[in-house]
Amino acid sequence: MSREPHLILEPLGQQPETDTILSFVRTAEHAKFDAVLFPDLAGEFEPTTLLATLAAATSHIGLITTGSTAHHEPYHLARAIASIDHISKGRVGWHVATAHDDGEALGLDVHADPNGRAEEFLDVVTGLWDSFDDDAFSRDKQSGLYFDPERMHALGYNGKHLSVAGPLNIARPPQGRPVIVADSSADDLRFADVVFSDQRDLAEAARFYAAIKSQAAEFGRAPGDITVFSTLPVITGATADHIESWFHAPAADGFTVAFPYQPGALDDFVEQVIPELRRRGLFRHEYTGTTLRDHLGLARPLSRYATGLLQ
Amino acid sequence: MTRNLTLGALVNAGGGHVAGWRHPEAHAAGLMDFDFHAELATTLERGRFDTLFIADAVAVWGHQLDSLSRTARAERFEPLTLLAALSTVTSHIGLVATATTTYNEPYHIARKFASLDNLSHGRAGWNIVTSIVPFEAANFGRAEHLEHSLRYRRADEFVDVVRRLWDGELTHHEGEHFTLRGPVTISRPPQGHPVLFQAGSSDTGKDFAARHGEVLFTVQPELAAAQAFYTDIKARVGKAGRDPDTVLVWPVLSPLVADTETEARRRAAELDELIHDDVARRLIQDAIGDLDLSGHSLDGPVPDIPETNRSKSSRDVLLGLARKENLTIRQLAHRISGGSIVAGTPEQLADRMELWFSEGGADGFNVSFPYLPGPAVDFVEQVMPILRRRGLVPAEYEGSTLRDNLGLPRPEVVR
Repeated sequence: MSREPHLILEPLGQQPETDTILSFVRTAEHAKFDAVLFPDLAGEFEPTTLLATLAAATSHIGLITTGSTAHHEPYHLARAIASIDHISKGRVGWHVATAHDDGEALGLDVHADPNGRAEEFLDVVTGLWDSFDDDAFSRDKQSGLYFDPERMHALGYNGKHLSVAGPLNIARPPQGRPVIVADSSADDLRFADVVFSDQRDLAEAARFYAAIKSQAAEFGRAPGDITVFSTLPVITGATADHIESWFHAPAADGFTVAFPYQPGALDDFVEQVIPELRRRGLFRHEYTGTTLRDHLGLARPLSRYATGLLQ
Repeated sequence: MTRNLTLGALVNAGGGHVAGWRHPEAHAAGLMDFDFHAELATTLERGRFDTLFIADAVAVWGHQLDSLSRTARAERFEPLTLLAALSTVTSHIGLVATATTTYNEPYHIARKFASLDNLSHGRAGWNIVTSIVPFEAANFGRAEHLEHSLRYRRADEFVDVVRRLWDGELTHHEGEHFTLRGPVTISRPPQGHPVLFQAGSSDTGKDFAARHGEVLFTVQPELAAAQAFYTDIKARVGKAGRDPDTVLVWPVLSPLVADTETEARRRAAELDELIHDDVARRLIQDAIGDLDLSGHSLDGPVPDIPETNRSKSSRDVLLGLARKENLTIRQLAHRISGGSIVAGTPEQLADRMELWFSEGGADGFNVSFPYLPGPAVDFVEQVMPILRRRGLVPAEYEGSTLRDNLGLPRPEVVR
């Protein structure tokens, strides 16, 4: 259970040029948001490319990319996200989308069973991230051993939809496994670190929250392993009250809020709501950790091969 | 207008030499160290290199773990994310990423490179490769590896679609390999098209390069062969209906400088001594074909090798070299290891570059540093000033985009 609610910022509206996007993210970092979550919209910058730029220009804030399991090859997406985790020193997240309607327009494969593919896709990506044990790379000049072959694992995945040999050609990400963000409709709780709750009503949201936390056990996870986020309604003078009552119900561990990119759009929230939350002990004054998992109060997962159950 | 000598810097933190990471002055953990890359990029920009260049593979290269585990080749940043990040610590240097047409889709490539071009304000380049490593196919659910000529046909259509996406023209495409029902919207690149790089050396490869490449890489240890390649490829460019002056030929150059030639050669030999036997054998196998060398002494001759689906061109070049110079397996491996290191004084390096540049062997070079960061710093501080003094390279960046700095025209809209 988090000690304080978390805040994730989402940009709203047409994407502007680079400097304005960067300014938006820096404002969020200055205000100590947990993360900024970027959509993947037609006509906008490819999100992993954008996030890599933002990673190099920031130091603490989390950066979450949206990536569709229908539109990508898991090897490429796993690679790009792991790469950003290294560049950002552990601040990347992946918002899993399963959107598949416009694949044909883009020249991408259309899948008869997008949900089946999504489930395998998650298996593959999380498996690829474990390709090298944390201590696989000794990079020892003296002995000449760059990495220990015993600590490298070829995934060898052969499913109904996906066949991926691995290994991924990148060291294990700093977060072990980048943060995985799932939509409310997701029934796959094997890997989700963040789940969005769609409820508008406090009582229903509290029921949803309790259901998710108890379902965690069915997937071999502790209730604290999954954080539930709710979207804030229109910001008013009562927003701090809303956050407080939902957090304590409990109906949410964190909240998402959306603002346009333009400078000034965030001002009211940053200058009024966040200080009020801090006065009530409901938001951080400083980042106390360095990774997105740290900010969200999530443990760093062990490699699937570290448990000794898999070779 | 004076023709400038143009220069790319191959960024491989482990070094171009297979044992480069073991050099006493190398940063062994550099491969996944972003700060190291950032510092390197700013050094190279200070030296006024035209581009950074990142090679790639979409697999861990190899199943021979004994040798692989002794090289720095098993891990790397994904190129586009690395370059996008480096765009924030640089302002002028070009950012060229390798991406394969075999295991990607045109939409993704067009979009990523357009994004990089926008994020970097017009500095992106795409090194087009058609993959030659079977391990890669297995990461994309494909058991078989595309046969040599088929992958070039796919690549032709791929590049055509990508360019039309960059032009904002694509509402519908139906071809042998790709069907896009459209319409597709991606952000327009400031350069019109990111600059296209290519490295084909087989006949099919050279024709492909002549059709699409604006900067063409080649591996040419000797001037005569470099001149022959240069003449041949420029003729092919002309036959493809393009102006040969709008295409640059860049042989790879692997420099190691020191105050004296003797000292430079000593430094090169020092690197070769760091190569493990298993690595030496694997170098030959990777370059020419998966033959069993375990029964052959490393200090004996190179055996004959049958053709494979691997790169035909490197096999011919290397076998020819081995026969011509009576090289042992170990000696041939040492040649491959650093991509023929050119060891000498800064003046000697500058002389060699000037000779190739003025005698029809090169329009520029893709510089591969045997290990990092030392040779890169040495080149920037000792060789570049000589090239500037000789009027071969400008003192400052004069253009605002990579295209401008390379003296390349804006492409016409593809119809």
